[in-house]
Amino acid sequence: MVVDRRRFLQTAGAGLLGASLWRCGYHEVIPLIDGVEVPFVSAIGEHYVKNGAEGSLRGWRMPDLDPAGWSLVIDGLVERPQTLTLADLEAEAAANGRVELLKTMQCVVDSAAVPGLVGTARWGGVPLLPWLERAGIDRSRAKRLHLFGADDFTGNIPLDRLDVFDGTDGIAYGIDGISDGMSGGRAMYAPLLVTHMNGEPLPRSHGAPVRLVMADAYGYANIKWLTRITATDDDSAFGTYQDAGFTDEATSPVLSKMTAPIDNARLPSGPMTLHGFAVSGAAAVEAVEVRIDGGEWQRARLATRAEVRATAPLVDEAVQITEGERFGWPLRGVWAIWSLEWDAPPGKHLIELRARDHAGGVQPEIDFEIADGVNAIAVTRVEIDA
Amino acid sequence: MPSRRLPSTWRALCVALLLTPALAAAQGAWTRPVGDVYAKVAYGSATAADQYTFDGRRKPYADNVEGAAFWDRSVYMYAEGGVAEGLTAIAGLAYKRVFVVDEAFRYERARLGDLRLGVRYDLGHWWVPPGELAWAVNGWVEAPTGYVRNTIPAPGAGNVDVGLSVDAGKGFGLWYAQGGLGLRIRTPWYGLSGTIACSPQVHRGCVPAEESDLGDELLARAEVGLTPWSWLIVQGLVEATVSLVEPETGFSVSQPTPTHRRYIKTGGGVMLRPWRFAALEVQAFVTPWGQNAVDSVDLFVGLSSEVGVW
Repeated sequence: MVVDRRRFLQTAGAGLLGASLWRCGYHEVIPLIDGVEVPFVSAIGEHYVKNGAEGSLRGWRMPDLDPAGWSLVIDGLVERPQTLTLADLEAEAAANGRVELLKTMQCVVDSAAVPGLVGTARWGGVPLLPWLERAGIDRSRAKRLHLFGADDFTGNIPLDRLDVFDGTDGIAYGIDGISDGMSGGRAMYAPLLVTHMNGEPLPRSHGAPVRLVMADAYGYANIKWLTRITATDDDSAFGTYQDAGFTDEATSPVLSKMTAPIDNARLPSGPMTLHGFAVSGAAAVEAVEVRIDGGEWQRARLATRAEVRATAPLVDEAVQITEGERFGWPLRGVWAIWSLEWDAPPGKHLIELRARDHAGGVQPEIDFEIADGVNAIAVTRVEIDA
Repeated sequence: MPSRRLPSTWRALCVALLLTPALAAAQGAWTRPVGDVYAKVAYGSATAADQYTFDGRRKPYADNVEGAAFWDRSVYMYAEGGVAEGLTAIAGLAYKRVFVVDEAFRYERARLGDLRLGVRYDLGHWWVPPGELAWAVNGWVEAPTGYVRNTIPAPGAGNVDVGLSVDAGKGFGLWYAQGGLGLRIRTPWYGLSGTIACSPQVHRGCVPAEESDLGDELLARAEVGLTPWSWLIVQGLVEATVSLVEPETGFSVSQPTPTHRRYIKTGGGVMLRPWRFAALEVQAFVTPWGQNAVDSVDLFVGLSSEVGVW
């Protein structure tokens, strides 16, 4: 077969083009920011919003409930079904005070792959428990409370998670009075019917007029636009996210993150401050440790209560501050801000981060299971210029 | 046999638009004469700020990101040639460049995507339908070229697709029309793509490797064209891709491959063809409806050539 010059060149050119294309693939993850300095309290407009039903319930729309027309039905295994209005909750708050609770809200899918779904606010409301008692909940039969949002999102609370009060002065607010040498870190609040966020009426996107707040739980347990609570003897998992495969318990395990510098950041050499947060729903954070390039684990510094109060005045009215002796520091279910000074030498570096809590929780080396959240040791890669 | 072929310029545009990368399949009603080859290189630009959720709601493509968050800037190569009377061979290859952003990161991926090989057979050799319609059956296989499928974003879904369609067309003076129905079988064979180990907490820019059931898809399309002058063709097209499996969950930057997708794309094109061997083609499409689909605006600019090789 005779191959003329033109055809040969065409064929060779096509081959070279193909080979070039084959080789010139790439995959890059480029940070759009150097990092984020986490404020202890997230501003309302900057606190993440994730609507659990949006990605799973057909025809979902964000409820726009009229506060004046809102009601909460408490029924099921109760002697006296209740229909609460916002006025009832306001009267309760006026009589016994509104509980202002610091809580770090964290979406269960928050991870390196889905960053930013975490924030801390001061949630104001009244405890749920007294209303259940007034309704005459049948504790001999009821196993769980089924929770319903106006957007058809559902969840549940096992009844034994309501019983965190000590039977003394904590009853009204469901305070766990335990102070057992763990810096008071286990002190906890029972579920709240929340009407305020950072001192402002609860915004629509956060569940107005009333949402539930569970101090130790992932976001999906904190039902927004709450309209019904049904006591039931059904002790099986129940809820929209439970149906999607996420853990029924919803308690967030210990987790730490570095928010600055951010993964893949390129920075000048020299002294810098590594910082981020750590949080656990199971107990207060005990320690955060950082390891650079496989060296020794170094203990990071945790922001003190005084430092937080100086930078975030909103915390002053939180029950964990006003009753600080009960709760210790850091707080269970609230992030601890950590920092570590580092004199960064030129080159590529790998920074690992782990935290442990007072309940013995530690971050695993590997966590491929996302049903209970992903909390493996966090890894950040940075490139330091000379 | 009566002639059922359209003028070559029409055929070229039909093919060009059918190749449009955003569209589902290289379908067409007309085969090529033996030795006649059509080739095209196109630059495709798809941009989206929104997505259609699994139940058809429109929402931002990426949570908490205002404006565009998805860009596809790919190059598409396509060729088809008449290899026997009534039989056309088809080949296509995409060099995919896809960018997505979330609140903090921009994820870029470029790599050869899927390779498509197919044939079109003129059913008129077997039976001429009433009205002297041209009709043909198209069959194709679309396979990964070894790329890693669990990156964010990925060059493709990573599985092998097999498609079959029947298309019919007819010319009416300066006008022509054609349409087709097909089925794309999204096989569970992922052996031609790779994966990397990925923990969502440790690794950024990847998702845990899965071999998803992507759901077979019905394909439907219709187009009309007008040739006011021999060097100009104007065309309108609508195409639907409908997963046979009801979409149940959505997708996101971190879960970027829509599994069960349904969408309609509609748009138009202009082809300037001053010479037979070279043409400039421009097409634009929008996505007016979808479920589990990117709500993108697509623009394609291509250079094509049609030559007799043997």
